[in-house]
Amino acid sequence: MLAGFILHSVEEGLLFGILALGVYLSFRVLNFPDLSVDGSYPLGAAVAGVMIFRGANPFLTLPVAVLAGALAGLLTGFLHTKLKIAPLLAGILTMICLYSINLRVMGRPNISLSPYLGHKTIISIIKGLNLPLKSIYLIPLVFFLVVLVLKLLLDLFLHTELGLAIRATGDNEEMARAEGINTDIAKLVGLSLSNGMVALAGALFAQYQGFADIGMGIGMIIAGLASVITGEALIRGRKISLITVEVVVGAIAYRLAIAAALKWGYNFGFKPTDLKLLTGLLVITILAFPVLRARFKKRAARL
Amino acid sequence: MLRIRHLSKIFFKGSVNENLALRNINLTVPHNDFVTIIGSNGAGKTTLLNLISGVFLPEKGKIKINGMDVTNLPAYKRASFIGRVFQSPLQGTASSLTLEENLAIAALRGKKKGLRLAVTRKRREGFREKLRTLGLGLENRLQERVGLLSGGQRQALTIFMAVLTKPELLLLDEHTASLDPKTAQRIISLTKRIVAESELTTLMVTHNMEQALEFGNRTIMMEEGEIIFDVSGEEKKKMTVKELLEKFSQIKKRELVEDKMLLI
Repeated sequence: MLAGFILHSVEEGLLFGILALGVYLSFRVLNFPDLSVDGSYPLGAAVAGVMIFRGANPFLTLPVAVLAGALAGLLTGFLHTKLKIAPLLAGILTMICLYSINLRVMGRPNISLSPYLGHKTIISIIKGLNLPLKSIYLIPLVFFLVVLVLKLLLDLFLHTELGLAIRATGDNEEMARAEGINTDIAKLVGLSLSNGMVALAGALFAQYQGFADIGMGIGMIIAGLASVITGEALIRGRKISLITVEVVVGAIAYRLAIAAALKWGYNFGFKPTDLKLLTGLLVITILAFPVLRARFKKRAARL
Repeated sequence: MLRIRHLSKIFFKGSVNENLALRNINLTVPHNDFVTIIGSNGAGKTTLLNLISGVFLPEKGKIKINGMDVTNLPAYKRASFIGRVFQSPLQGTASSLTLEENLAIAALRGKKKGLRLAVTRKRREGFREKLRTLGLGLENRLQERVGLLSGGQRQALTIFMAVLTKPELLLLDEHTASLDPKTAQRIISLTKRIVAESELTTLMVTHNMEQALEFGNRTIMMEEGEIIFDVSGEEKKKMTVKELLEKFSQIKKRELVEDKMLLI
């Protein structure tokens, strides 16, 4: 049972890792606090939900979701670069608009995706394949491969001329401009890529959990940030190829923390409604760990 | 090749803080000239450089570089023909990127940024060769983060990056001001060497009057947004700091009391 519990968290964590990679791109690389993630995640789910509901090829939902997310990112970017709206506010405005847009896309607050209703999702297709590997191992493996490919593509991209321009824009905008980088374009590209990835995560997660829901996005940016920061605390990497690993690992750790809180919190007198508190405490512990360890070492040295 | 006509800049126009930073500046700098710019704080020296490089746009006037009107071009579009070194070592480089990545960005100045790999083996070797001529050991640190370098090393790197694509104009804004005297001296000799080698048209803002007179073939003094004094050639060579100060008091009929300007 423990193996199943861990496997399930790892699956979720891997999908979350895609979202976390997107959040890493906007928050850390571009230095842009992008809250539109709370809107583009359910957008991806909504797009996938509607398409599958109408019988479309589930694999087609992925590029369409990415495109939709990219458009959301472009909106945020446009609000900031052309209308000079502050980054935080630009993301919030996009998120607000997307709430209604997502409802329009789905036509209702949620869409159920069930193989029993004849809906074909990527998950149902994988389960239907008669491969020697059992589907409970196959699904996390497929997720792992997807995340691996995305991570490698992101690593590669950040080392291209365009990727470097985006990194420079996030690190030192004035320097970037002095070096001839069109920082407006850099931000637009970064934000559309970032939200595209987030929407992709949403599309996959909707198919994984069997429904697309309008409220899916609430708190996603926090979860994404927690994943990024947890990952950074666990593995201190400086190279991009290591940082992207950190981010995904952080996402998995975050999901494990939530799952653990749900499973064993009750034994400590916690109620299911205390979930957010527990996950907060768990993340605080992970983040405080290096500080506490240093203090403990200092104390031990003094004795 | 740098022609500035009737350039004016007002900050916070219409408000209580309205500041006429530049008034009707007229300046022509022929190719290959090395002009030092001095003046007290608030004289408008950095504002002038900012207008030339496009960080700000002027209220009135025209700026032409090599005949091309750049007055209203955004900064990033002008960057291909302007190299700039800032006062703070932190401003000219990106701390989280490595040396070779910073250099790649400089090498790509003016070019379209595509999906090619930014730091190729060929580029890296090229950087290594060129950095060797600096004599600072930076060629062995190409893959280190720039944030790990000292202020002087970062300024050296910034200067190097500024001239990498052979710009038309080099703008130096008190670039040794935040360095200790020894490092400042090294950076100054580096500057001298690089300007001589590249035959660049250079504008150097400095607070140091000795430096201003020692370097370049022309010195202008700014005060309250205007150019009040312009000396070049033989006259500049013979000028001393004392004479310069006297000239200033004559023009302004007041004592120059700033310690910074007397720093030798």
